[in-house]
Amino acid sequence: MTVSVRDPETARPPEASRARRMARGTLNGPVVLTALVLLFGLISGAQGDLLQGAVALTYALAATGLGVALGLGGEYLLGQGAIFACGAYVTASLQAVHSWTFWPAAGAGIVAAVLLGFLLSIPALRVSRFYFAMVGFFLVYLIPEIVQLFSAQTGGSAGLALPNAPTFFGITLDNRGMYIFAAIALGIGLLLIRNVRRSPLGVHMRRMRDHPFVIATAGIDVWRVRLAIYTYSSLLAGLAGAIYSQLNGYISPLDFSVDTTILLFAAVLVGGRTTLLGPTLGVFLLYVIPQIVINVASYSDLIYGGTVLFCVIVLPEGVEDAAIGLYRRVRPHRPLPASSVLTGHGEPSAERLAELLWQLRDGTTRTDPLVIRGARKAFGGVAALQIDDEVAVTVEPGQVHLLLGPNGSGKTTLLNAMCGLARLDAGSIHIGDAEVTRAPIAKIARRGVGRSFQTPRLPDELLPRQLLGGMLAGMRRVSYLHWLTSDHVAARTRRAADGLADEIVAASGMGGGADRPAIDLTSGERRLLDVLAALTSQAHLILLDEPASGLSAHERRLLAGTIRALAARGMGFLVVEHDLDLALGMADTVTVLVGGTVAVTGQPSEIKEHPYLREVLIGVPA
Amino acid sequence: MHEFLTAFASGVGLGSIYCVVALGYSFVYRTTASFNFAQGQAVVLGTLFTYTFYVKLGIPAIGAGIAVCIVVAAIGGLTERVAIWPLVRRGDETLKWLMSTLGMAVLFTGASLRIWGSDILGIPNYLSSPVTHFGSVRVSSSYVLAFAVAVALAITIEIFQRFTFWGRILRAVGDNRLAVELAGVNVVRMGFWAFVLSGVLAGAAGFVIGPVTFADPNAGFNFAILSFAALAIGGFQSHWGALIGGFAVGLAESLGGTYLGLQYQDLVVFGMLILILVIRPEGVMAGRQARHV
Amino acid sequence: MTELALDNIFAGYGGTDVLRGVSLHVAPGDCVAVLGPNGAGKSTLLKVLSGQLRVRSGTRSVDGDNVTSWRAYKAAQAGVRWVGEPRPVYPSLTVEENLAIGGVVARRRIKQETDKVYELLPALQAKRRDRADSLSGGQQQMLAIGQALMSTPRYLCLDEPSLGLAPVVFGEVARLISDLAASGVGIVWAEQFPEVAKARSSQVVLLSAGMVTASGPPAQISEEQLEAAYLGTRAQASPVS
Repeated sequence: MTVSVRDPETARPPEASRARRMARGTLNGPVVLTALVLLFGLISGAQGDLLQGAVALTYALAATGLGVALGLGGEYLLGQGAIFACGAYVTASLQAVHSWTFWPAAGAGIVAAVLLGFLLSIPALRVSRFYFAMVGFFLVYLIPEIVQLFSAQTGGSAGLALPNAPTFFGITLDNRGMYIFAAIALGIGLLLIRNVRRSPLGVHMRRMRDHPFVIATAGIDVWRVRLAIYTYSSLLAGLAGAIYSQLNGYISPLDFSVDTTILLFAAVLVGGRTTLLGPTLGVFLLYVIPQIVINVASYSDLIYGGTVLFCVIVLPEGVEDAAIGLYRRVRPHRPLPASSVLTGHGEPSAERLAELLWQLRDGTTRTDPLVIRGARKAFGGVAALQIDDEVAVTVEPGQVHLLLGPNGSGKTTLLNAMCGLARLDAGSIHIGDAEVTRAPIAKIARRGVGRSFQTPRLPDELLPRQLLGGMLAGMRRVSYLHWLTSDHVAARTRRAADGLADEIVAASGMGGGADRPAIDLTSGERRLLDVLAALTSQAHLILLDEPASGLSAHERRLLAGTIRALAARGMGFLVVEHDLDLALGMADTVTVLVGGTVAVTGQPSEIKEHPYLREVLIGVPA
Repeated sequence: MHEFLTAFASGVGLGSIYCVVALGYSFVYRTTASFNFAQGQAVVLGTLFTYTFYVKLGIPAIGAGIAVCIVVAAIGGLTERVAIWPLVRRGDETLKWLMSTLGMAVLFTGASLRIWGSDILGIPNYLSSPVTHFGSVRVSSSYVLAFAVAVALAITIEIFQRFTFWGRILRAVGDNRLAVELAGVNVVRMGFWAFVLSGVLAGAAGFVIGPVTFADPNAGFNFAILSFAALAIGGFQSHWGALIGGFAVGLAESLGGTYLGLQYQDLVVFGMLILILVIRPEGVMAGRQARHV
Repeated sequence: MTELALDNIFAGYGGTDVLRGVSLHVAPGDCVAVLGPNGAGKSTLLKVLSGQLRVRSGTRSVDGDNVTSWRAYKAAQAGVRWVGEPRPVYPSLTVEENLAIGGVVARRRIKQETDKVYELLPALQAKRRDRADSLSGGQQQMLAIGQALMSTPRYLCLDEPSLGLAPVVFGEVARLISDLAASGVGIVWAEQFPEVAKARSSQVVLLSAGMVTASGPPAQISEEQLEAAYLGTRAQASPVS
């Protein structure tokens, strides 16, 4: 590569840096917020205000955790109130009954809360999201009974009084001390979640939320991502509970009523579930302001209930998003010029795009072909695939294999079988010498099989750079501790990954879409980004399901060129495509499926002249 | 033995109440594929209006019962218009309905507390003999009435589904909702009527159980959660599931309360729910199809 | 003017337009074949016709009345029916119950309508008490069409009636379609296989990338135009209407 890269900071015109500026905005958000909160704690004189403030901060912490589950993971974790209570009770009980000091007790409380989170995640893997939500709510409802069950430890319905306030290096933490502690905890919690959101894991979470199979076909274990979601949400809820338990010197089941859970939910919904600071903002709006302005906690239930209803119906993405929407209406988005403005060398180039994507596979020497033989699959008694035992379909490195056939001929089913999404009724799949007929999706993916789907599947709120950058960063071997602390290693990795993502986006000619979240992209840009996401991996065999549909003529040429160039470097493709000009132009081999069986296999030139193609695709008897 | 029989009988009686509430849920679920969180609160409103009409205004029992059903049916319709209809128009996923009806349930609870206060309001028994004897076992006649209502409702629904035109449509909606709409049925309006009808059931349930449970404005989530458990255990797809699940939950509560202590009766139900979700997630009475909620 | 008409329709899914300025007019007795490769927008067009999909711009009208904002059930009540994938069949109901639901908008005449459908599709009569999920694919397709006929529709939209059917069975379906048109039903059907469709239709509309590239009586649609649409030799395709 001899392309000279200009200094990105100076080369970037002002419009293009808007996305960067927005990123910087959230970067400082937690720090600024914590500083403001702390300032209040230092100047406020009223003990009551400090106490109420500290309560609000613990709610904000628990709500931020819920935001991870609901916003990043799409999990309706109605049990968050129970996890919060668990952290509080374990901490308080160890102090009051077992005479532990606060700090180890709080540690144990957090661990217990995380364990409860794991426990709750088990049914989530097995039953639908709706059931999971109800089971969680049931648990919140059961808190008084569970507290009663362990009344020797918890004081039962009478409540549990704490012997003394926590100390910090000999200093007893009074209301102000607890307030400051809670503020710092919230700040750390927000920074932690910010780091998670920006890490590759954050991108996986968002992709899993919308379409669980997509990340599995990219070689990522869905259950691990889910487990991470529960860990972070319950970690924050446990910490919040541990602090909460200290504030009044006394806890009882009344502190953890259904109302608390509803408040947390309402806060996340009103603040915006996909944003970092949204849940904190929500607690401020729903809990703090009513305390200050009307000073009637007796209306809290009406406020929370009304808020949940109002938000679900009128503001599904929260106040922040609504405000942005309003702003956009006042000042409509100006699309950037189509050529890349990000890096300055942005003429779309298939060759360069292929080179960038091929570099990701540097050092991998995988040359195993995928062979599927005698594939049979029926859905509800209707045969979708019935390929004869001796007939094989192969995806070979260096080759582009085109799959044609009318609707319902089994093309997508064959792709699904190849990547493990559909279990074959009969037949075998081999990658090289290894049999993967019954292997799980992620395992097949890790053997080097990648995949795109008929409908693009992209998290709405991510910019192209965030999506591709997150995936690229995830390919680097960086210990997770770096991501959590967001230290210089993580920063360097992220910078490199983002830079590479920018180059990929630029080379794809998608410059105009580079600063728009996926939901605002044109259908062509969405499709292209989706295919790029499938190619952003180390897989050497890629299955593409209608990659050109929705693309403009020059986007099509770019795509075909990129696929050819990658094949020339040693990657293998299986492509389902209806644009025959395009598809036959880039294929080495063509297989025509009809009624679930292989009708013809051959070279594109043979197929083009083959009377059967005309018969199958146009219905003209030869 | 006597203790067991008494617990069993009151379990069946209690279960009958959950049956009636769960039947309302399953009706809504099968027409709209959604769970109406506010249904539990509707039952509570049934007991509260029974108190107002029967105790405060002195309307004769039958008249009060009918008035309660009408009022709660209207509340059911209101729930659909406010919490469901705007989402349907937008084509939102049904999981969001769970949240909007949850908000509705909280609002109803808050409103009830403002109107009726937070005290439990007593409702005298309107049946001629408040206690029924089965051998040596004494059962509240309200439970007997609830049992009769539950069984009668299940049979009515079965007949309705088998032999009436709209009953067939109801089954067809469960099979293929879009096709029913394409045949010319306004399925959104059907959803509205399902909410109204489930309001009638909630009102009837509230009226029948009023003399046993009294009117407790805070009991809404209790009914919502236990009826969900009943449906999850029995299976969402059929009214027989609601019936079986309702009795199972009632018996678990009553037997658990008798032998383990009253304060643990919901824990027993929770344990049973988790067990069912692990070994048979589609519910005891589910048909062939796996459930996709 | 009795006709089902679309004028300059833009419609699609999730913010992207699949149809870009499509117009189509169908009168009772017409048999219009919508042809074009996969992804050209045939199914979308039929969904717009039957009220399943909201349009972003353009108008839909029945007999001169503007009905652009209709929902699907209203279309059925006005005599516009649709059959396609997923098939409008209720697996757990019997064949006869299926038909009865198909006739919901004409429920006073269910007995007569059922008999009429059995006359047209005798295979269904033999299975009248069987559950729909015990039928073969071809029989289910018959049942789906039979259901749509229960309300004596004036317009019938058929989305790839050949899908999943053996050629012999499809021949029967195609014959049924032209018989229905002859009896005065306005038919719009989408097909991947143009030759059969051309032989059975009075009008052909060729769609390509969401636009009408040719339309007229089957004889006027040339091999070249078809090949251009299907095999993608775009240079030869020039937009018409």
